[in-house]
Amino acid sequence: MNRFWMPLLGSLFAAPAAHADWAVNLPVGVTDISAQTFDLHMFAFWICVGIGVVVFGAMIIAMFRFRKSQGVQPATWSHNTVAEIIWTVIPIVILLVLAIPTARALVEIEDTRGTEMSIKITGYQWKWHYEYIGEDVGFFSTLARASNEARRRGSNIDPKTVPNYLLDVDRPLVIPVDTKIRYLITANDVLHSWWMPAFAVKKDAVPGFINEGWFKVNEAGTYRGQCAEICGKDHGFMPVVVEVLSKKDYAAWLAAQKSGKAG
Amino acid sequence: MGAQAMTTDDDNRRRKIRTNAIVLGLVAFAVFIGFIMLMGLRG
Amino acid sequence: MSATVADMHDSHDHHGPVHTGIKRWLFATNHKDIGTLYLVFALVMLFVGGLMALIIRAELFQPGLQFVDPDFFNQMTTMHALIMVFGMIMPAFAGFANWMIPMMIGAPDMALPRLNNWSFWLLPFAATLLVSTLFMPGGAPASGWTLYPPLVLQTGDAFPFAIFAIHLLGISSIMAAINIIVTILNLRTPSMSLLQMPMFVWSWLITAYLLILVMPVLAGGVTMLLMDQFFGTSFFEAAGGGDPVLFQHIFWFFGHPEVYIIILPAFGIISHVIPAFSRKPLFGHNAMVYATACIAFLSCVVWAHHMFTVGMPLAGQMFFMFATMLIAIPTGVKIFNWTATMWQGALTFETPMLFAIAFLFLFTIGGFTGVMMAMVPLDFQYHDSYFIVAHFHYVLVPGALFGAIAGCYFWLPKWTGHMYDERLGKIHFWLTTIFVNLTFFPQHFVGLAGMPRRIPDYAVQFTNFNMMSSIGAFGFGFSQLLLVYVIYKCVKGGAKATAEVWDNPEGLEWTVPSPAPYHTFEVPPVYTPRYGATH
Repeated sequence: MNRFWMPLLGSLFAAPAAHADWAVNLPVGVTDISAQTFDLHMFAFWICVGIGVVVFGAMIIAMFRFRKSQGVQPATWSHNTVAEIIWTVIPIVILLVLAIPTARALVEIEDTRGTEMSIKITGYQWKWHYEYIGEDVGFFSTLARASNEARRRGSNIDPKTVPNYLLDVDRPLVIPVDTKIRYLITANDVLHSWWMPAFAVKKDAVPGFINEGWFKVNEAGTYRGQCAEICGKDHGFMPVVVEVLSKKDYAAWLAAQKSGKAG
Repeated sequence: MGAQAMTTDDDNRRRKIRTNAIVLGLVAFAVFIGFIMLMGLRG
Repeated sequence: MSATVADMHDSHDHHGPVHTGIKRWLFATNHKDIGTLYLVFALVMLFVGGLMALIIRAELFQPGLQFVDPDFFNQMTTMHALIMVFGMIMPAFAGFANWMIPMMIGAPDMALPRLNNWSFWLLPFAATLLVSTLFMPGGAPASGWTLYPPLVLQTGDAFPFAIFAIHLLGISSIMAAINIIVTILNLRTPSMSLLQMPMFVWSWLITAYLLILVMPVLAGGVTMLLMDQFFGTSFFEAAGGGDPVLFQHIFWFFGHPEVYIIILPAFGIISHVIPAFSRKPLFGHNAMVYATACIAFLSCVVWAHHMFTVGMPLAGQMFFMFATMLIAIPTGVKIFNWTATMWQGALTFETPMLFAIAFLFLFTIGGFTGVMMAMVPLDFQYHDSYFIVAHFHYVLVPGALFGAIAGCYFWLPKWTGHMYDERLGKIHFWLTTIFVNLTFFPQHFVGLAGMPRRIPDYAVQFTNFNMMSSIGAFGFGFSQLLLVYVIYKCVKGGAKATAEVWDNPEGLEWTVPSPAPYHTFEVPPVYTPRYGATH
């Protein structure tokens, strides 16, 4: 019983300390595209809040002012052409305001020109394979052992004690910072989807077809995501982890890979 | 459609109801078959 | 006996069912009996699908796997969706259509009563077949309700049975849709013009056309899956020249209109409840009709917004983004018109009105997230995360389901002849509304923070909001037992309802006594619009 309820009570009262546990918004991310996506998301959010204030405000006013218990007589009108035109035109304007920057961002996202290196991502049930095109380096990336043991039913391991539970792999994808990287993505068996929230990248891996896209990461670090398209029983257990190194460290890492040393 | 038309022996109405229903059913079936054939032909 | 309505006329000296006991229901041809069957079936399925939702939420209460294995978890998410969509919400609205459309248009019954019987009786068998796949070797389909290949082809022995169940459910829907169209067009009282028809009838007329257009496409899609699996075709198999993404196009060509098939009848019910308790005519009746038709048309050209991440050409993404955004306009018109209906009315807040107002607020929230998701770069982040789970549950639960519950309280006195227990109804409303928000609002947060959907276990930073969501889900589920009790109590007895039930509501259904006699409008009534010919 304690094991069941204590985390709940604990999280309710001691929560503000653990910041990430209460994350309620998109990450700003570490690419120009993800920052742009975040701004667009906040823009759309505030527009929705604005519309909400007006629409919900009108509903709330109606609920308080026009109550039968206050002895009001109901009106009998059921038309107002001016009002109807206004509330058709205003949404059109708002949608245009939303659509224009969105379309501009989309064109930028789809612009794959000028990439400096390419990697190939292949989805398997239930792991990822990364291949550095032209470098003769490639490896599988599977759920880290600690997570894999803890996630078994009846393992009696508290997930909270496992570092980066379910978001850790044995071998992450390693890439250099400040480099426009093209990725080609496909799958070997069923559909998968490679999702890296910090890059604002989500692309489906379709068996027999190759999708492409790009990202350019501005900050070195380790970033974590997951498979986003249901792909069978272990869909929840094939994380995406990317380690972004400085260009110098990346060159050293790549050289080590090629000479067969553990990286 | 007058009020008078709503009698037991209104064969015309009965026929019209049946025709309408059959046409709609055929439309549904045509969409079903047509769609599969279209998808088969596209390769 | 002929299969048309004229037969019901032959027996107008019977004032009750021809058969009694179980035969009354097995051989039912009366629209009210069949309506009741549909509604009871939907209520049962609400609990079957709800139980599956609770299994999902129990597993997600905390990280780690406590109760079920991942494969069974995936079966639960798949079956929960299929049962709620095909077994619960669509039959519920078909039940309302059966009960109310003939009474609203002054028709003696549905045009094709025996087809009507078949439409209903396919459902229990189809649902049983679908649920029975859980007990087959390999278990039920575990690919999500979207049944995407190649994953769905990995289903065990259950695969053909699940496809057959979907075919049966589809045939049932198509026949119900044909019946509804034919009834509305042929059996309307002559004094009621098309544009004068009540909004619920209009919504269902448009919905029925959508059903006839898209259900056969789903049937075609799943048939192609069947052929790929057993007859060596390669519609969706790249190695044979096919394309797995093709199935997604087919599925969503059905699937997107399907969400409007689910929500339009709810719109119709809300368009009756709000004017009745505002004591004021519906604002812009004709505009509402045009908006509904416009939504239905647009719903057929936006399907690929469900698949922005599959790798589409830029032009395709742009088209589907703009078309999707356009839907916000007619939907906005509907929300504004309902608000304008309340404006300067004389409002009271009986249970149906409370549910209708909650619908207005919460459906609008679902609409906001819908617009955000139409924006392609944002969709790359939201897609297949819990954000979308929150979005569609907001439009389906406090949207479609609240519409159905509002309609249930609204017409229950007309059906049973008794007033339901208003105090219990209000308690049911508050419990339901609080718990539905506790369940689904936190899912926006975990989705944005990066939690994918359809996973049985999650990273520890998502724990808090998942716990809230699970608590909400159990509260919501158990609150619905109160609905069953209120209905039971109302059927058994209660204050006698008048013919009008409420304070002078508009519509032919309120001119017949409560409970509505077994046969109504054997002679077409004269319909006189209350607020002048143009509404």
